[in-house]
Amino acid sequence: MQTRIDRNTLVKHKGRLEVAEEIINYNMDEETNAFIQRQILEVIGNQITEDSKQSPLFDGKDEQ
Amino acid sequence: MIAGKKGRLKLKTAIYARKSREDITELSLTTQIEECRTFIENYNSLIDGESISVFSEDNASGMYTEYRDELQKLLREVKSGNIDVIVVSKSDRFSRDSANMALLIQELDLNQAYLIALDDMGDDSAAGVLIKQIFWATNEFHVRRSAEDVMKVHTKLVQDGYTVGGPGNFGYDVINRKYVINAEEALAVNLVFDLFIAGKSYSEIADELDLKGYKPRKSSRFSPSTILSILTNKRNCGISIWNSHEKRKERKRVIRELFPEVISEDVVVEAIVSKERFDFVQKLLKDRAIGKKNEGKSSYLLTGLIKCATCNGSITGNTQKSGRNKQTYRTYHCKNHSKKHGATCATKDVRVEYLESYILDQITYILNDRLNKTGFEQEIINKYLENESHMLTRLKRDRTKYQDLLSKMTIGLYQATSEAVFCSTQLEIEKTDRLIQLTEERISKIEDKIGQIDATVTTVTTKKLRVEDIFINDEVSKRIIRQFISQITLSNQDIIIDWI
Repeated sequence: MQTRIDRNTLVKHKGRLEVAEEIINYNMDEETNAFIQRQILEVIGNQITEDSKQSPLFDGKDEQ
Repeated sequence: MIAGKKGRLKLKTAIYARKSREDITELSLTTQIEECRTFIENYNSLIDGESISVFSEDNASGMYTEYRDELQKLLREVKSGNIDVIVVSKSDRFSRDSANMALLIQELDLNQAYLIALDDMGDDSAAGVLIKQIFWATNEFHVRRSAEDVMKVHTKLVQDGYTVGGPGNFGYDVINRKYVINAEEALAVNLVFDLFIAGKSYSEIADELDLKGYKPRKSSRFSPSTILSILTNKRNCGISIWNSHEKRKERKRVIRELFPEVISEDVVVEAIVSKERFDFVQKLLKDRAIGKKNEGKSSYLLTGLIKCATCNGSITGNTQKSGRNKQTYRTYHCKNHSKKHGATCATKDVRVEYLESYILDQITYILNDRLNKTGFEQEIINKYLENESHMLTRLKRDRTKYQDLLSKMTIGLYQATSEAVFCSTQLEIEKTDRLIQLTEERISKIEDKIGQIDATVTTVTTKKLRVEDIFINDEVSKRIIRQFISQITLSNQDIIIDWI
């Protein structure tokens, strides 16, 4: 799958663009899914729970 | 005759001595050299005894010529015409392989040099050559047969679940011919896996181990290559491979290759890390071809993935300061863009922040979408918890064992009859105390992790993760990006991203 970005648009919005349509329909394969979940259990999860201890749990706001 | 051919009065001589690792019955290097010197003194009318060069090497197998640095050095000297005669105490010191021996002799002949082996009774007549060849073949037969006998015994031992010698790798001791966990070293091995998964470089891991007081067996400090060997040693997840054919690729051992590789899980009493964890790290290592970390400098997450659409060259990270305020600009830059000589590529730089921000946003969307839709795989969580609980049980068992030992030693300390016993007991107490502390640290870390699993799973599946929640450091970010993107092509009009 390919996505294409116009360079002028990228610069104009400083990289903060809408999610591409192809990405909305992107189908993550099971191997990648397992890899990411393992990475979350091993490292990312710890970081998230540490952060949430320090501040109220995420407000769910999307940075985009 | 040789002297005549070379127009010299006396021949320039070299002594070659070799000793292999395996055979303890071989003569020492000093004895071999002494025997050769005595011979040279007896023939001092022909041989120039004043300028003898000595080439000797220990731990070198006579079955090969490739790994013998001193032999190679000697052959170079022969080629340059600096050596006419090579004296060895026995012909098998020069080579134990008859084919190699024939090639070596041929090379000496070509350079008008000659080999004198003190056990050589033949001359260059037809019968003499036959005797020599029989002698060389017998030597080779002797070595091969004894090696084969040893290999047969070793194969059987490993198949039956026993080790065949050696002190065991870092993390294990050999007890009753089995690999048994060395508690302190196993803690270090686990720390190596933890830190690597967390995105630390080999040198950062080595620094951390140093800081915590862990030491490798033979040196004062861990090196990056030791860290890599810990991460890739299958024995750490309970699988022992004897006569590994993969390792043989690096250093050929003809006789060993005749025998099968034996993979055994019975040789290892208990694994230090789980198979899942080990496989996960192997995947990280395989995908790791990212390049050396630029300590203290800017990191470019997309290096190696971007290429230029115009010149097909690689696009690399570039930092420069410009403007009145000397502001720093980080860009992805075509290497051929500012070539001073030759063709200049027209593709302009793109700001690192813009491109990375776009890509990280897209990946974050994919992850949130998937996690919110299908949640976490229960099987992955169960396996993870099972492995961590297993580890916890082992560590608690170790802690109890060391606490018991500590109390016994403390009683022993007060009953010590001499100062020497008192001092050595005190040292052991300090060592055990440290081990208990390290084990407790590890136990509490695992307990925390297990305790947090539910919260983590709930958080990642119900809330929207932010970019900074996922891309926690450069190494982890690079790993994740490479799971999704295979290539980015940059032109002056657009950027094309190939998703996996």
